[in-house]
Amino acid sequence: VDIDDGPRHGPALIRALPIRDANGEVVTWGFGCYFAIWDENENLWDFTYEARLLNTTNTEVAYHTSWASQKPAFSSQLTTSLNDPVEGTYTCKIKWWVDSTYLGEGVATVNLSYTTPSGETTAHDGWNGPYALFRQTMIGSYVGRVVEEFDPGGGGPDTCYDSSLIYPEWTAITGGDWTVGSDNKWGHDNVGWGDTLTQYYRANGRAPCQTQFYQDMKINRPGNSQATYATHLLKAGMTSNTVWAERAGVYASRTW
Amino acid sequence: VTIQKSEPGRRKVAIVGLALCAVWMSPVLPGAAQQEARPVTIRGDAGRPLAGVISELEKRHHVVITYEELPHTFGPDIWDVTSQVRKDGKTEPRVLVPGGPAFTFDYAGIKSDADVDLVLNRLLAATQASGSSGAFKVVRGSEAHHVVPFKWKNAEGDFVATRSLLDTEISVTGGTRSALSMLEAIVGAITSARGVNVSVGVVPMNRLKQAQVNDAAVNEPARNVLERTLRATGLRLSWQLFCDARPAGPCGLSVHTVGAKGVRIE
Repeated sequence: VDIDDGPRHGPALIRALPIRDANGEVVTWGFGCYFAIWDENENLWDFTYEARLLNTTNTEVAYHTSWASQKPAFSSQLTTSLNDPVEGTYTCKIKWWVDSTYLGEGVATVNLSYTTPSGETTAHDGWNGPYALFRQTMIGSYVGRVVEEFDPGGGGPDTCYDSSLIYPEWTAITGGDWTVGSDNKWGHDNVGWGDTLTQYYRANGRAPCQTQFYQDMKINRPGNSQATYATHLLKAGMTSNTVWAERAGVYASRTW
Repeated sequence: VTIQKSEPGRRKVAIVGLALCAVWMSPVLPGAAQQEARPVTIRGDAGRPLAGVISELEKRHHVVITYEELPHTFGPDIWDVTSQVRKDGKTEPRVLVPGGPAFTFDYAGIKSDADVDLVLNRLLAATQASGSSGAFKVVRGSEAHHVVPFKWKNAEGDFVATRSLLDTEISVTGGTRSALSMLEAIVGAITSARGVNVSVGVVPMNRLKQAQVNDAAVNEPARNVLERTLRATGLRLSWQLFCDARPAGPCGLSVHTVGAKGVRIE
């Protein structure tokens, strides 16, 4: 049987799917190349392949070669996993040989990109003393991604503050990052003054008083800069016997 | 204790002259080195003028300069600002605050890390000459300059040798905990050892709760433990330790972030 009339290899396929790791610090992605060769007339051949998976810079990240003897068809796969792979195009290349004759190469690509969430919802989730705890749910699935708060400016005034007192004014978020959990939520975002400051401001006749500031939320994109997906207004305040806080319009208060 | 009744100005810092010229920002320009940089003047307003100037230096030059003080006990250095501070109409308890005199400070700029020490030493000399409540020195940390009081006015107004609160030797049990928890342990140990009520003030709470430290201390200066704790967060953090005008405090240890590493030449 002439090879030209014999086996044909199909197009290679490549898939990339996120696999959550145990601690949520990174997102592991599984990459798989799937490929096959066959003779429709079911003649028997010796098949050999070389499979390569290339990353976005065309660097080989996985390789495998194997062969089968006297078969009418042969299919296999090349799989590997990458932690927080960067955005871009990943390529699978399969070279085929039949009875030592090179038959050509099958190529497949997959484009990996990280979407930016359209926002998040905020829920009050209890208290830690005078601190209000807020837990957020991402809009869309962003399990394992890292969100971080930034100060866009424009905060204040802090009406509890006075320059002669011992505590500085609080007119900006102070920074923090959180990994989105397996329930697609992150937190807690703590908002408020601690007990010592609360009692101090009251003792010095500052209550009722409050502060406010903006919070830019950004999400990580491996291989790319963080993307801002939300800006919230945060507020915190106290009266002579209560403390309160607000995040993205969600208000909570308690006796304290 | 005699309380001075005069009303203090607000402790704010005004930059009187933003005088370093553009040529300092472009050191490769031919002939630039020959040009004299005009001095920068920072004015520290009454209250805690030294702390105000240090805070401004931190912001302008992105160097970590911490500040510590002790409870103020000398009556003439204490201002009663009850009418200014209290918003609830009450007159008791009185609001007593340090009343350090305002002063201005000129410096020719900071071109290197070594310049920071020179500028700070000049600043501390100027502070003492202005009649502040204490004499301060610069203690070099691993990545910070600590401005530390070593003499402080007692109730009679005499300068007496003293140890800063963060010179207190403390012991903290080992184990993994949040940086915030470690901070609380540090101020708790100081409070116990010195009888001055020291507490954690305004801090980057989310960051400090998230950062884990595994550390312990045995009869070690609190400043060393604090510096190590903050360094473990991976952030560039500085502190201010302010104290009320009462012998037992309270004192508040507040922590803030400082801009990107490296001396910014202006």
